[in-house]
Amino acid sequence: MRAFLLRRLLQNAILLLFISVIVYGILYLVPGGPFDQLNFGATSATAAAAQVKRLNELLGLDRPLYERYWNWLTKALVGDWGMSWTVAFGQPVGRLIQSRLGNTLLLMGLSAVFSLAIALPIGIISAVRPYSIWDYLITAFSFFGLSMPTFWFGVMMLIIFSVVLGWLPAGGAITPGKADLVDRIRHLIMPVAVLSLVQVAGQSRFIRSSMLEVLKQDYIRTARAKGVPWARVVMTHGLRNAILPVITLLGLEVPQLFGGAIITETIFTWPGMGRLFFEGISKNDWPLVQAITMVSAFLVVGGNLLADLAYAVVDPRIRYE
Amino acid sequence: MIASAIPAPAIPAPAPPAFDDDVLATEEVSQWRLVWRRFRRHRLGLLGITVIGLIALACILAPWIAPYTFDKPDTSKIMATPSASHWLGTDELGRDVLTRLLYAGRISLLVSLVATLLSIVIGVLVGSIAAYFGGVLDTLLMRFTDMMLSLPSLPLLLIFSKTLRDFGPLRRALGDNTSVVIIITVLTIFGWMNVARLVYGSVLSLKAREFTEASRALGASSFRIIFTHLVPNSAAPIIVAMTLGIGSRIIAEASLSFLGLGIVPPNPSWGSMLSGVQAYMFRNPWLAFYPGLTILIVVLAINFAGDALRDALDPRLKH
Repeated sequence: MRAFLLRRLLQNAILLLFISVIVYGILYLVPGGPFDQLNFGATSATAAAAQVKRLNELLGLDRPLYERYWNWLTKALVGDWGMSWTVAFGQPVGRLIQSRLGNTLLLMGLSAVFSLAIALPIGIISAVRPYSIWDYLITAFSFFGLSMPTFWFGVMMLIIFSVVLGWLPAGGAITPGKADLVDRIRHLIMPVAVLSLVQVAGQSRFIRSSMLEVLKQDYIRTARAKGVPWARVVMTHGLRNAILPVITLLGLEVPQLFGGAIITETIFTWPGMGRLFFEGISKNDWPLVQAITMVSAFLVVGGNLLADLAYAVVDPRIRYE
Repeated sequence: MIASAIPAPAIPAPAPPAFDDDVLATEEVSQWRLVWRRFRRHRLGLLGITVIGLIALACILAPWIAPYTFDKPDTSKIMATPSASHWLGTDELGRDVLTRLLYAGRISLLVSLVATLLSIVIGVLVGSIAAYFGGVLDTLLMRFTDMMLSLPSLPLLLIFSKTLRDFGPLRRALGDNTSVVIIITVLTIFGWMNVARLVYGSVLSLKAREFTEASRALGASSFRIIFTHLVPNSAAPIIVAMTLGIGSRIIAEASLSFLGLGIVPPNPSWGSMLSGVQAYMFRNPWLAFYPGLTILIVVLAINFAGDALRDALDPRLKH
């Protein structure tokens, strides 16, 4: 177990290093630089060029790439992610992310919980009564979910519940001056619903096939033969085994959740890390973009590791060497 | 030739058959006819390919059948609601929405089709080479594949799209088509891994089979074995992955374009028609409705067709 953990941590460290090199490389290697398009209101091209040169020197962008990367890496390892360029000029990137991380984790966590709470029962119903009317309805629903462009679903919800009906707030996380629990929940409903939809569709299909597989096993027949009621066979003998692969699935879904968070937060102007990332991309704020990519990579890698460990805890048959 | 030189031994007359063979003989059916027969049974799958076919045809014929030009603004008819002259209304510049949907379909379908085909080429190469040669090559290629699979792909897609777009020489070389080329490139870079894994698994099991052994014994080169035996025998999962891949790439392209980092004017795509639509949704919600509905219908149709195709190509995959 310990050897396994050490090996995984080492692999993850290499993966994170790889991601940081790729992202740093693509952000800074593309010729022209982030200031290429600015002209600083300068009247002549040479004046603008001089300004760009001065800015590049100021930010250290005139140094060779490997030197800059090394500088960035050694600072990042001790928690200094640099200063934001454009989104919040001069503010430490770390603090910016810190102020937004909680909101994003809240959104992602609630969506994971909600989607599973919906996907579990409908996946089980589908598996217990395969090819029934319920199974077909649930299958049709999951096809819709998988074919739905998330951002469009979000925009449609916004138009219906906010613009036309006026039931829910159009964006943000709180109403200023009225930030009680009800208000928070009202702001959460649409973003969580949008982020959950695609997850529910995939998860319910997955749970269905996992459950179908388990219900074919000998121990299910044995339990039935011993006279255990069908409902109990499904809910205890069946579910406990069928749910194991779901843990891995949840771990693997972190990248999808974060990608969904970028889109959802942008539509509902949710003050989270995803929207911060999108602002950073739009405004060429490379230190911010680099840092958020690394944080999301941490979430992805951590999610996978946690899923593997959780699997070993709930399934005694799994032994990591 | 040798056989003909030797006098044929006397063959004993065959015993009369116990029953007439012809009664049991059936018409010989080709593989693809069988697949089509199984496919036909899926009514939703049939509906799916019909819908995709009609929409694709309409988009291809757009320059001839579209009622208006897609890029000419008409300031007298800004954001008109659906009417007899503009079936789906007009957008914020007074352009006919139906016309733009047809032209946008050309870009969206082209991008997803080309990106899928390129992903499949790369995936097949990586997967089959890793599985066939094994050893260090296998470890290197498949570890790299796993690594790519575990990346947070949307942030990286956005970073690549943005930086490539700001790259001056590329824009000068490609002109108006820059965004199309960029989005195909980034969707390919982050889209080949699933096919590589599929092909890897399939080739790994096929290469242990007798026909591989036989062709190696006959002196076939590795290249020949891989591309005439192993890859064609893995066609079923590849075709299914390709069908479903087109659907997911239509959504990916639309998401990027919606965020303003995919297809940019003058080319419209289904996603880019929705970019910035939040500014207009109060005045004309229909503007946001039709492009998204088109994406939903097309992707749904593709997924139905893909599902039917999976059952038809390999009934064993059914669950």
